[in-house]
Parts: sequence; structure tokens; C-alpha cells
Amino acid sequence: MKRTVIALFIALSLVSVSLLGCGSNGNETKQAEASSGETTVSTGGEQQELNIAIFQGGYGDAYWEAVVELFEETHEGVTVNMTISPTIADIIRPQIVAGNPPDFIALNDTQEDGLILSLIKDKALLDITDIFEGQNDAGNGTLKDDIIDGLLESAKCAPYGDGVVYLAPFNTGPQGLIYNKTAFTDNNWELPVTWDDFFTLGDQIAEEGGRSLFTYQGIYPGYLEEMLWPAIASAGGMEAIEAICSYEEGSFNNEVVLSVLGQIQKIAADGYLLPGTVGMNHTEAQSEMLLGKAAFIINGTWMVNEMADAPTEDGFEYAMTTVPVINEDDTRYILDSMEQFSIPADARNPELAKEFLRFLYSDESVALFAEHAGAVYATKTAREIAKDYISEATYNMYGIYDGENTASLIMNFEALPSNSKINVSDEVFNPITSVMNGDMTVEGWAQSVEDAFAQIRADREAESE
Amino acid sequence: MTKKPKLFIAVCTLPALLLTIVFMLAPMCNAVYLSFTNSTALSVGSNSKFVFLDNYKYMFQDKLFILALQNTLKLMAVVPVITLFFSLIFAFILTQSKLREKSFYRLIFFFPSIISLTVVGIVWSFVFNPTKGILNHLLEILNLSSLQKAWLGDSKTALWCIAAALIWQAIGYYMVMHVAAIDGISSEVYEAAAIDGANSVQKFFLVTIPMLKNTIGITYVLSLSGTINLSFTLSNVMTAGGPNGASSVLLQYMYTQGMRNANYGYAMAIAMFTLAIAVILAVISRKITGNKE
Repeated sequence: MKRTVIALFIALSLVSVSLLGCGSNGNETKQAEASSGETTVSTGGEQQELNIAIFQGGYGDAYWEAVVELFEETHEGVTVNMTISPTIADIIRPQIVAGNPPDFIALNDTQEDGLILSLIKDKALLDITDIFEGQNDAGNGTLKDDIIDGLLESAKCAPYGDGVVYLAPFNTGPQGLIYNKTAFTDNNWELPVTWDDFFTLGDQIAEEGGRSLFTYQGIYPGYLEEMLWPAIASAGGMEAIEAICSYEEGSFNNEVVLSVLGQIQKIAADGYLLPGTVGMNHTEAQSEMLLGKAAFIINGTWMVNEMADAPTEDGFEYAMTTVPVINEDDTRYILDSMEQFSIPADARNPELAKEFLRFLYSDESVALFAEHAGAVYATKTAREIAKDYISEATYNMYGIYDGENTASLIMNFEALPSNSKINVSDEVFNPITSVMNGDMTVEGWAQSVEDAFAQIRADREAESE
Repeated sequence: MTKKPKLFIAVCTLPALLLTIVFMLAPMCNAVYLSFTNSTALSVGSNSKFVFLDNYKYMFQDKLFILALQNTLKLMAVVPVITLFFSLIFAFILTQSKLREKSFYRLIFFFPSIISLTVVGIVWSFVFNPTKGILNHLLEILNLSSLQKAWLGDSKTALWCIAAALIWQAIGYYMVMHVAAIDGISSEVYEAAAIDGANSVQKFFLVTIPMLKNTIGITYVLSLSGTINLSFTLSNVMTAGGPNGASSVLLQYMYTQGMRNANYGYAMAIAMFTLAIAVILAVISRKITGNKE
């Protein structure tokens, strides 16, 4: 009998130990240390906690460490628990599913993980229009007026097309063709304006040898959005982009879009593409370009930071130009690299999260971002504030907006119905590799996108029933 | 005859039973249920609607799913056969030959099995790298530059690159199983074969393979299910399913739908379908390789 009792005890302890593992908090929350150092509970329940989840991308983590410290200094009794990771979505997804989301998320909806898109689909984000209607952090005006015009109204911030803001703009920056200024000056190459110029330059470069005209981030063809959307906007105007964003029938398989797809196909078909591009990842393609294997790569301003340690050809100097247009006088659109902040609808402490968000747009925070990340917030004065901190190369790249006949482009698809199984970005960009390899025609590409759009329209109807 | 301590046995099985129920049976029943609903990541519970077979119907109109299914079937047709063939040959050589470095080879061949699969994927993506990869360099050295290509970026080769990595990492594992099985064959049988004048090749095909029929059957089923499971990691690491879905496999498509697109219901339907294929194929291959007893 005694033996049975002991066995029972051991067996039960085994079960309980293994089950205990389930209860513990498995994520690597890093408690940002308050400068005061002490986290003793203060009187009157003023002690507040804010849980923030940050995507760590090309801009690093130094800015976030600094801004969290500043927020804690200026907000007494507030402790910020920051989780920052390049795979932040994988860390917080289970928390969100379990109904325990962070209070604040800095993660973009174009991210591979699709987390923000699924939150939009499920209408699980908090309406934050009131923050922008209210005072800014300095108390000298409405926050809305501090943000660059056009961002808050765009589908990037108001995804349901009703003007209600669910996502806040983080940074802003141009994306376009990045090239080595020194190589262009030394070889007397002229920057192309039209596609014809682009390919003529390609022939010239090929004759001189040793370099291809263009490369892109091969196995991540989504980067080509920085080329495709501006080119379509230039050729067909904003109506063309709006029709695509709302998945209209015939918006992708039409003459205007086909002419643009044809130019992209020509890059590979006529040998202007760096050999091997389709098999490279983003770092490899970018490294090859820095080493002078290709004259252009499509990318945004973060490349300076991201590739800071990579070897380059002699005298490499970053510069950026617009994506080619069909006719010389077409508007040259520049796709904006705006990223987003959001607050989950089920956040435990939404008021403090809103306060934190408001604080992020303050001049101090904007300056910290420029200092630590070398980049620019989406506020009107940010570029001026950042001027003293960011590298000359980056600052010059922002000058692309000052070019002749240019316009900024914010592109975002309308929110998908929650029952939709389509990933729009995959549908639009994945066929590019097949087109570049010559396995698919541009007509086939356009039609496959149209098929996906048709499915989305059907999903919408099914949902509204 | 001593009395069996029934209570003791029952209590001892309890932990394993509980763990199996909590971590395997319950989630599996839940998955079956979810596959009939339109659950998304945030509406797993009450908000989701019962849609009966809609997810399964959608599956067969979904060209990405069909592509993933075809790719998985291609891998299942090729990978286990090649893996087992080479692992048998290696096992035979290591047991029957008089090589002095036997144990060294045994270690080296088994080595890939203990490396994390993600690492295997990364190593092989460097092998196939278009500019720095050893494969393209070898081709250049051999004056075969015309055969160079972006192996992982070409829809004709991407899937087979994954197959190569799968085979490489699995051979050692099955080799060890076969070594153990060959060790179980009485040496008298081989001696008799030798007296009858059989050479090594004949010994391999006429003695080893028939004697190992049962083991081969089991390892074949293991290798089939291994291919379904492991191809997911390699495809994720090496190609992310690209180019244009050419190397996507079933479990990866399930992950894409479940995690990226947040369609839990649809993802579970894909999981159930994959499970069904695995079970059916395992039953068929057991029937063919025949456990007569």
C-alpha cells in the first residue's frame, strides 16, 4: 500500500511539472530599465505598466531603447515592458490569439508574417482617430496637422475606406532605384527618365562590360512593388492604382498595366538583369549591387543602415532616382515606405498606449529616431529636425522628392474580407520570378492576378450575405 | 504466481495517458472540428461559423494548394526510394567490408541527422547559391558553365534542390537502422553465400535485401512521413516556397494559410487532408512490403 502511495505521488508530480511549463510566460520580455532604477509600487495605484511589441528591422533597436527610457523619465510611475525582435509577430501572435495582446505594436502590414493584415481582417484594432483629432504632445496644435498630409486618409491608416484611423504612420521615406553616384559621374552615364532611356543606358553599360543594369531582391519579389506601383501610377494615373486597390474587374489585365509589366519582363528577357538574381535573397542582391555588379537596385533609404558593414566598390556613394516612366512628361511617382503603429482593440491599457503614441511624435522622439536610426518620422517637421543627425547620403536620397514632376505614392489594398484565403501581395508579386525566368507571359501574370481579384470579390459577396 | 499490482500499473500509465490526451488527442479533435468552420486567428471560439465541407471544397479549386499537393507527392515518390537505396548500400558496405575507417564513416554519415534542420537548409542554400555556391563553382571548374543557374530561383530545379538536402540529411539516420538490422542477420548466411561463390553485389541483392524486407518496409513508411514533415522546414528556409509556389509543400501551405493569412479553419482542413494522405500511403506501403506474420 505504501508503495502505491509513493508511486501515485511520483506520477502526479510528473504530470504537474510538465503542466507547469504551460503556464509560464515563454516570451523574452525585456524589461526596459527605468532610469530611476526602482520599480517599487507607489501610493494610490499610480503605478502603470505598458506592454509594447516592436518589430526590429533595418533601423535597429537603439531608438526604441532610447525613446522608452525618455518616456519613463517623463511619465512618473510608468514602466514600459518592451519586447523587440525581428520575429515579433511569432512572439505576440499566440498572446493575441489567447486574448492577451500587447498594448502597442510597431509592425508593418506589408510584413511577411501577415499579422497586422489578419488583425485588420478581423477588425481587431482600436479606433485611434481621437489621438490625431486631439492635441499634440507639445500642446501647441492638433496632432493631425503635424502629420504629413495625405497619410492619415490613405488606406494604410484608414483600411476600411471610411476615414476612421486604425493605424498610425511611423516613418516616411522614398523608395526607388538606388545607384552609385560615383560610378555614374566617372562613366558619364545619364540618369534614365523613361523606360527607353533605361534600356539605352543598359546597352551602354553592357558594352562597357562588367556590370548589369539592374538587380532586385530575387527570392523576395515583393520588393518590386517599389517599381511596379509607381510605374502603373505614372502610366495610368491614380485611377489605375485605386481600381487595383479595390480589386476591380479588369483593373490588372488591361493595356496600361500590361505595358508596364512588359517593361519589367524586358529587363530579364533582353538580358539587363544581373545573372542569378532570381536565386538571391535581399542581402545577397544588395551586396552584389554594392560591389558594382549591377548599376541599379530597387530599395528604400534603410539600405544605408542595413548594409553599413557590407563591402562596396571603390568610392561608392548612395544616390536614388525615380522609377522610369513611359513618356517623358508622365508624373514620376515615388512609393513611400511608411510603416505603421497600432493598438489592439483588446489592449489592457489603451489610454497609456495612446499617450505613448502621442509621445512618439514629439520633437524629442523624432530627433532620437534620426540620431539612432538615421531615418525620418512621418511628421512635417521631421526632415528638418533629422537634418543634423542623418548621413548626407540618406539626406540626399530624401531629396528625390524635390525632383522635377515627382509625386509621393501611398499604396495599400483595401481590407480583405475575413473569410478570404488570398494573400494579395503573393498573388501579385510571386509570378515575377516565373516571368523573369521566361516560364510565364505577362498576359498569364495579369490574368492570374485577375483570378485572385475575382476570388476576393466573391469572398466579399459571400461575407456580406 | 504473484498478484499483478494493477493499481500501480494504472497509476504509472496515467501521466503518459494524460499528456497524450491533453497534447495530442484534444488538439487533434479540435483540429477536426475547426476544419469544418471558418475560424480565423481571432475567432477560434464562439464567433466562427460552421461551414461544413466548404473548406475542403475550396481546397480543390485553390491552385496554390494543388501545386503544393503535387510537389509533396513528387517528393514522396522520389525521396524515400533514393534515401533508402543509398542508406542500404552504405549500411551494407559498413557492415560487410573490412574497411578500417568504418566507425569514422558511420559517424560522418550519421552527422547530418543530428544537425538542426534549419542549419541543413541554410548550408544547402549556400551550396546552391548562384554566385557564391559550390555547385556553380564546380560546374565552372569542369567547363560546364552553360549548366550554371540560380538553382533555388528556377521553378524547374528548386524542388529538387530541396529533395537533395532531404536525402542528404536522412541517409545517415536510416543507415544506422539498417546497420542494426544487418547485424541481426546471422553471419552463417553470408558465409554460405560466399561458399556458393556469391560476390558482394549478389550478396547485397540476394541475401541482404530479402532478409531485411520487413525493416525496409518500416523504414520506408518512416521515410514517407519524414518527407512530409521535414520538407516543410527545408522549403521554408531554402526557398520560402518559391519561385511562384514551385517548391511549396502541403504543410508549408498550411502554415501560410494558418499563420500568415490567419485562416485557421482552412489550415486545419489542409492538415486533415495531409494526415489522410499520410495514413493511406502508410497502409498501402505496409500492405505491399507485406508483414506476412
